[in-house]
Amino acid sequence: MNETRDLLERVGERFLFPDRAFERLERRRERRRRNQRIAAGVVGVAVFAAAIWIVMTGGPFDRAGTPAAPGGATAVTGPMESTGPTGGVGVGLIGLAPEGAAPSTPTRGELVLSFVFGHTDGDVGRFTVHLYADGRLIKDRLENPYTGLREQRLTPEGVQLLLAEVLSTGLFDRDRELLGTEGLHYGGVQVRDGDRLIHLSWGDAGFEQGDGPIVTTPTPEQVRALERLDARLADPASWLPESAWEDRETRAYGPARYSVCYMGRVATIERPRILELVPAPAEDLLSGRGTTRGEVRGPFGSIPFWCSDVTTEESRVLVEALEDAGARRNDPSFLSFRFQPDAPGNAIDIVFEPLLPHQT
Amino acid sequence: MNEPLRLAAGSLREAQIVAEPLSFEAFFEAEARTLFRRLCAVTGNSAEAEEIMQDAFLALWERWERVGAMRDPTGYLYRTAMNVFRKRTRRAVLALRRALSPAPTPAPFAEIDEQQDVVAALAELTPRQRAALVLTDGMDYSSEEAGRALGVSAGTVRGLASRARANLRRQVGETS
Repeated sequence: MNETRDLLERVGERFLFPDRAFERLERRRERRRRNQRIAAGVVGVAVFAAAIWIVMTGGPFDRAGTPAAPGGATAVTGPMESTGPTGGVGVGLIGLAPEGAAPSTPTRGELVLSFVFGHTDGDVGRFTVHLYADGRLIKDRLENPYTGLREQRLTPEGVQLLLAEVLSTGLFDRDRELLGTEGLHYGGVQVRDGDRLIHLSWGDAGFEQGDGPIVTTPTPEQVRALERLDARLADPASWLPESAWEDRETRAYGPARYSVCYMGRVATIERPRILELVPAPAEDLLSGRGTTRGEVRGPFGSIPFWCSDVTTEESRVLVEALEDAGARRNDPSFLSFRFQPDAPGNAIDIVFEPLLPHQT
Repeated sequence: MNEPLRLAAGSLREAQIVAEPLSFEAFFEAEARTLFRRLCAVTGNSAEAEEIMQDAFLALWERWERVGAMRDPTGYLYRTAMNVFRKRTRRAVLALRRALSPAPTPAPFAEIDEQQDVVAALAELTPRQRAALVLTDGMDYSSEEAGRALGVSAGTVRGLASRARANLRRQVGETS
């Protein structure tokens, strides 16, 4: 070994190889895929796929040191206390809504704007906003700890002001996909234009191209517009006038329904078999329900999953049945379980995702 | 040199003999430590090295059906890793230009407790010089092979490696 090689080897050996390196690789892989799906503005089934990835990867980011949600495995949160007029960090909906809590009304809403901004290549800092025609502004941020889903209410004037802010970027005259947004990581916006939603997504150089109809490299002005939009949507209370707010207090979002999705954890398990394996109350509840089928890509090929809508009270029944049967909560911030029946190779992931007003 | 890359000693070849076809996880286990160490030597930072290592392995994983059947998946891994390294370097430059107050980045090799002369000398090299050195002196690449991995000409590699060796000799000589 020559002198330089010896030097390089000795230097390299002094760095500690990361613990659980392969597991960390798997997590990064699934995060990347989930982020791509989210940024591409794929909703509906893909939302559930995203939730399932959270389960499969053990959480949206490294949660070492993350305090468990209050209340343990069936943790719930009630209406939150706002921490300030700007609706800053507070506790939103995490897990199941509290027993007897009134859901956000009306239960259905027309989405006029959704916004996702990935502040890193992974999940940390990802910020989402959903704005409805009725004035509801629902948002969350994946930070440590997770904020949960939070809700404020705008007046019609406030809705128009927020939409005007988005449209003023000049990016929504057509669907767009921007690639090479160096430093912006990834993100996506949908904004309503009459009967349809206009889509914009972006990603940096490492971002794989999606299915967007118009792919362009962003100009510096477009990058700056997205950065500004991110800041404005993160804290609309700092710039919207008082008349824009119907209720600027930040509360926990109360879903009327959840989507429960289930799948084999490491390999395909067909739905009839999953229903045989889950506890009887869960089988009874889920077997008669209509389902939506989707697929997520795993290390060994695609794995199908099935989703059904259930009420909050039905979700509570399912959670209790799963916990009684020994299901393990995957992550304190998300209502997801790993159920391992006795038979080998039958591990199942079950995820509960609160439905937003445009998803019910 | 006809053999494009060296296998990690006694690792992958043995794994291939034991288990055919080679699984991606077995390939990762066989190659990750060596790649990580070499990337640490290039970047001087373990977090950066792990990011590059992960991106490179992920790229291979997505194409494993094809890459796993290659005669030299390890060579493909290193070429990919160096490509990731180059892209990240470009991105960092762009980010710095745009940022008004860039976050301070840790000095290369700052996490190594024992700051010996050679480590200090290595830290003085540019990342590209270290990459050229790792590929040529550390892995016995020819200048042409290293150039392909780094996306530069063979002459550029020779220049980078030569300056790196000279700087190393000077640095170590000055401090000893």
